Amino acid sequence: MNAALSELLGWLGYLQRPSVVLQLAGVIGSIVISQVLQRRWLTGAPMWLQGQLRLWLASLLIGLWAVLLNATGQLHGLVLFLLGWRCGWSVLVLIHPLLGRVLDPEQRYDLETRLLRPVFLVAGAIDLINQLDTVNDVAAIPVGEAFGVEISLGKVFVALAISYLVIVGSGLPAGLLARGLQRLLGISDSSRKAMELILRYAVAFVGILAVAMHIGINPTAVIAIAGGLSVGLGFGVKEIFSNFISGLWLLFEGSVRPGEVLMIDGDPCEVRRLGLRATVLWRDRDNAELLIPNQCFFTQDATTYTGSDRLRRSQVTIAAGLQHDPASVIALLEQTALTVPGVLPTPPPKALLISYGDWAVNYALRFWIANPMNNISSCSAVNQAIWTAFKAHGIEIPYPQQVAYLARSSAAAATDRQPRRFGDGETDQPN
Amino acid sequence: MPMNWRCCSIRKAETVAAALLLTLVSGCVARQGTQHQESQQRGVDTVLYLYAGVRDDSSDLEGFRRDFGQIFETIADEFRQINPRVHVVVQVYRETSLLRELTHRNASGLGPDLLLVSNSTALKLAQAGLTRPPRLTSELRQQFDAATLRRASLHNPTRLASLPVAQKAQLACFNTARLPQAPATLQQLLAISAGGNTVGLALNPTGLFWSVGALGAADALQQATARRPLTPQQQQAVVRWTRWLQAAATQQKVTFYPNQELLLKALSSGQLDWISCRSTDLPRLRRRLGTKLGVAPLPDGPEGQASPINELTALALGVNSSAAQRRAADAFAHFAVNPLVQRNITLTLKEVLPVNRYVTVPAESSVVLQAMVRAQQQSRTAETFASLVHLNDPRVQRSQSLITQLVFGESQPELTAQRLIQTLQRQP
Repeated sequence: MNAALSELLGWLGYLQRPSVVLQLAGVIGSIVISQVLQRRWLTGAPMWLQGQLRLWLASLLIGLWAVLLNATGQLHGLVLFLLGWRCGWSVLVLIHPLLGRVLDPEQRYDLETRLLRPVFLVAGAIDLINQLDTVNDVAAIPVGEAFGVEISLGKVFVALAISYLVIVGSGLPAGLLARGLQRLLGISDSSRKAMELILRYAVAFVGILAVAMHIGINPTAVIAIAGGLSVGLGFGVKEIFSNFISGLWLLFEGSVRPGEVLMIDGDPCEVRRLGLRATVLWRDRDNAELLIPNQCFFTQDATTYTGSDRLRRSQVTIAAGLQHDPASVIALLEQTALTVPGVLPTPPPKALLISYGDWAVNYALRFWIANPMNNISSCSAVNQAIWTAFKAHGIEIPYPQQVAYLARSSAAAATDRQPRRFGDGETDQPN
Repeated sequence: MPMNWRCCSIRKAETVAAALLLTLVSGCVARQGTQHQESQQRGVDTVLYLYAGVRDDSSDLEGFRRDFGQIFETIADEFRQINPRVHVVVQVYRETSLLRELTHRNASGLGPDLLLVSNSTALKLAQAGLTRPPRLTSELRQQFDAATLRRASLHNPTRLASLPVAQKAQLACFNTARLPQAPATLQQLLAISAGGNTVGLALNPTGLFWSVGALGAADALQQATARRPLTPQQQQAVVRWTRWLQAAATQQKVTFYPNQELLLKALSSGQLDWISCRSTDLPRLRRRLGTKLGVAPLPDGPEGQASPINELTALALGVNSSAAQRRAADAFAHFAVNPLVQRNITLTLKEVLPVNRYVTVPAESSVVLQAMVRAQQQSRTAETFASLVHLNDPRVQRSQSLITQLVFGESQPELTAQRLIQTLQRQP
């Protein structure tokens, strides 16, 4: 580390040169002036102008400084370099809305934060090193020893960069390969997602192994360390490791995959991601994301609607007046269900007479839907359709009512056998 | 708005960066203003940036850094004993990339204060105006012989492009496990190859020029290089050399290689038993061959002694230095050629020869030094060629092409000799 620090401090020697100091002073001055201008004089300007000036004012002033130095015969290469860097960053900000046109917000966020900006910053840092030194020289700086191998700064950087790129960048190729295999093999979407995840893990594992080989770490040493580490795993990070292994197991088993629908606390939830530690599920009811440790799926019962197929059988219950013919009501219910979008014709809807209630006949209408997450909305649609159909066919949906008969003589009772409701005429007394 | 958020983050980052840089630079500006007085009074640390050029065909940069570090530490440690406030930062570049790098860096003010490069590169950089000529006092001039000054100067010996600091001797390197004794003559060289030993020769004219003297063609080719007409005898001498090359090429165990790096690799891996090498290649070869590495002078011939071209290593001076850096760089360059330092480098490393003519090398102490001293004597045969033809001379490329055609049987010795003379006589 002393060598790295010494190299870093060595660069400060350039500040002994008036030409370098002059260039840097101008760049710093340009940045300060642009800040002052933005805060004091541009606050009243239109928003679009403020946005553009925030992006380009400093660059403009730095550019003017370069022109001035050039005109007076002074060195200005460093100013141009810093100007290029500043403009590059502005371009990165400018393409943000353009990316929004072709990518969804999550993809854009991932692309910008995980790839574009880190790559720009690292490339800028390397370029800066190349201005002050050579990347090869800096890369050759020793930083220590691992498993009997001398580790240099360059090896550490390459190892980190490749590992990062493999982990972050393997998503797209793994996704494309999984899609290709899906077309070839005809597998389901959830299987494709599982395959994509497995491919990513495999690529990351091979990539990290390749990095270790590139550094020159002896595979035997790695195996020995892995052996020692396994003991540590048993005690220290058992839970994390257990969750990781559970995640892999679930992927291979296929019971919990991205796209699957599981019942969690009585609510259908869709599996969004199967992470290293936890599974992310989405609950439609309140748009909540649930983070459930992978090992929970090992130890607890779970109900799935997507184990062998994605069909869900839904059911609504309805009461119809006692006076209506059950056969015609059942036929109407089945016919009505078929008219509702989302209700599958096969298997066909099935209506059943469940029971005779005190004031109505209770029916159940069972039907099948393709997306288990749409149960509530499908039931709502079917209920609405039934109301409309019953109204059209004069079928009463009765509200709670009770028929009471007065205890008179049998003759009087025969002449007076008219139903009476609560509140109508005489007050009925419960028997 | 995401745009605003980003702009804010940029603005904050810029403000912090500006504040940091301002603090740093203001401190340095303040230092700069009073630098001269301070340096007089209590001494300010001066940082010197030294670029070291590595041969273009070399693939062993790590090895170069290690070997170069040894040479450099020898000079720098002694220099720091009398200039303790000077720190030297070394950066390594390939010699072919130096022209581009210097053009770019000099424009930024981030160019080097010193460059330790081959004489050819130093001349090229000086010609492009990327380095400044060293201050050559009469006292300093006396340290060098006339031939060395001629080689290091662009137009006249009073204006040097750089200050020579060392000579890399061209030698014979061989594997003693397979070849107990190095061949002393060209005939012996072909005889050992006929006997089963593998021999590697360079295809480039500067790497092959050692064989010219042994066949009596050195004067002829040097005459041609100086654009003077050749006598029939001299032309015949050149034909003799090209015939020898053809004869060598027909030997099954003699192989021609396009560059020095391949020769070194082949000897290191055991593919070859004998090659021509540079004294600065010895540490690398020693690492691979250990005690099996043999070193000897290049073989003489029936018509004279070998004519190796001992490459000069020179210190060129940068153009971006501050006044203090300029003074320190000049002092460093002058220090590097003083007799005591030259002697120390030679005896400690046994890889380079001194350029200071007042330094005598005690050759008896080492076989390698003996070979190097012998190479120094032999190289006088090639002095004119060495001073007129540099590595980046276009005539070198054209000559290599002619030699390649000859050794692959595409051209006859007489025609090759004639074309070679014509090529060398052309204006570079």
